[in-house]
Amino acid sequence: MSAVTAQARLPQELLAAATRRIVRRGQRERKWARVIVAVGAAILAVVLVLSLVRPWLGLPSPYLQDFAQVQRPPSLAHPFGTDNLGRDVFSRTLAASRLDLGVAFAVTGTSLVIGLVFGALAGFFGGVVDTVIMRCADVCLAFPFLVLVLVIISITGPGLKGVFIGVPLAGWAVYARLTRAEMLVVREREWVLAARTLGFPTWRVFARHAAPHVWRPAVTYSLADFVLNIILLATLSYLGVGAQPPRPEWGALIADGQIHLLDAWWITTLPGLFVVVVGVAISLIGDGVAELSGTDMKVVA
Amino acid sequence: MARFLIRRLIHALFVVVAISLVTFLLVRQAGGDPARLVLGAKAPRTAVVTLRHELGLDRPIHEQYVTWVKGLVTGDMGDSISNRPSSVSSLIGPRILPSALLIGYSLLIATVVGIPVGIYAAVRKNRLGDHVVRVVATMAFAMPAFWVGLLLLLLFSLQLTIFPLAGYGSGFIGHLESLTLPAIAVAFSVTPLVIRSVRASMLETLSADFVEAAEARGLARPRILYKHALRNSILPTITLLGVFIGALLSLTVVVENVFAIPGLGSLLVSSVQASDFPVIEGLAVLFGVVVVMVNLLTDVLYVAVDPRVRL
Repeated sequence: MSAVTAQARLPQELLAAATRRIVRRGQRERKWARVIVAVGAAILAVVLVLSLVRPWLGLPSPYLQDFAQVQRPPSLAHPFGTDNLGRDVFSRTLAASRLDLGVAFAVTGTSLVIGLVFGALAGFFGGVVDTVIMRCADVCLAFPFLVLVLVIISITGPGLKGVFIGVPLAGWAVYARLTRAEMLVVREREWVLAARTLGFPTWRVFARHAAPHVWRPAVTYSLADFVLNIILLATLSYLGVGAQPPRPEWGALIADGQIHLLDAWWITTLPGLFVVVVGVAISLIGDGVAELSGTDMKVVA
Repeated sequence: MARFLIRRLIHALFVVVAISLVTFLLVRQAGGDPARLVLGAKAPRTAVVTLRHELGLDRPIHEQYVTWVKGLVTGDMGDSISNRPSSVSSLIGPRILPSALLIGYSLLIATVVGIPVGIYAAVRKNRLGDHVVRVVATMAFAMPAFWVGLLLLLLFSLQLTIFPLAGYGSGFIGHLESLTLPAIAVAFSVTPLVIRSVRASMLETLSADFVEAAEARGLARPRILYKHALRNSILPTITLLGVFIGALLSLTVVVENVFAIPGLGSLLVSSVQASDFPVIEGLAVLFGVVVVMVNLLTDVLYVAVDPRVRL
């Protein structure tokens, strides 16, 4: 574009062009975010469907020990090979996804709900309520996550009970911090002030006007937390204190292959790869949702 | 500044006291009778009562707590249950160095890789390079650290035999050699977090007024990046350590178990399996205090380094 034509343009035109460019870039980014969410959701859907229809896929039972087929490398009949007892690793990996995804979903959901409630209360009411709740959160966050969960498992004994108690107890604090920060903003918004001015009782302003608007950062974070909890579950059973054998579980499957690492690499490698695929799928959904909702996740830090 | 320091110190002190209280109440009260655990289920009642008296377990709970804290401060954390003759501190003591080395080593890898890559991703925002970094980081984030550790073991120790199989080695060089694969395994999970934070803080700096002003003055792009933007986003990366220390400690606990490193993490897991409550108590407090201290240090450092932050 020559300098003459640029000068001839009216300022409004330039401004309009710049605005269009910014709007278009925003649209492009949102479109990209939708694509990411769709890809993640598609991968996750395939995994869920596969694990739900597993009994009808013609795979051997996850518990069937076939001593004629011990430590066979991956093939068409056994996509992930077989383990040292002749069990089909792919069938076991799919069977494990019910337990892993289900438990991870449950503990993430529990942490989310507890954190939402206490974070909203702390942010809205302030004062003593705020101090008590947030100091509790500080203490929970002062322990490394895995250490706190291990301490709780040492009391409840190995197994899923410790996971169900320990993870929410350690995990609610991050959600509470996120929600409190959001509530501090929402509390001062016009409609909340209007509700106060109209003389509604405080609990009503809280429950009907402020609280319904503070869930976004916590829910966005919960998707990343879901991935972390899946890894945590696998880690705990790898360490021998999570889900107990013979129930198929991802971490336990990976651990099964540890002593056969050199002569049967697939027992450890392939279930782990499956976990990574599931984790990536959920992370993609999380990243996309974070971008679409425009949530600033810095408070986690 | 002084007021900030005092407030921050009081807060840290409060959290440390709360950590000790929570640990004490959780483990001591819910964890079962230590005397019974030591003597076993078949021991006669009189022996249990005698040992309870010896251990001070028949005294009121607040007295027990005070005794326990007094012990903690002087480094005496009682005796282990599963390794009966040895004290908790004699079990923990020699395991601090291996863990500290592993944490330092993996932190070094994570920052050396993470900071340049994060800056690169910010500069190439929404272009191919940024997308590639994001995809790789997302995949690394979803990998369980123990699985990465096992694969590294398979590839570099069993197949290529470049690195020792497990353990801690002897001498400083031996330690470094043994800790290389574990440190890479830990860094695998931490680096994506570092990249993400550095990218975000760099983007924020790049959109600041002074960068725009430098661009308007027609300064060369590299000069703006390295002299103006980079210097200003170094500071937020200092505070990263405070954010990631918890994750870093959790990851070392896992990875130490994969590589059989005689550190605090493998002691914690074996103590949990053996219900060795005095050791669990001591380790939980130690881990908590480390997190609080690192957070305190990074906060103070942040204020001390940045001339704009004056409280």
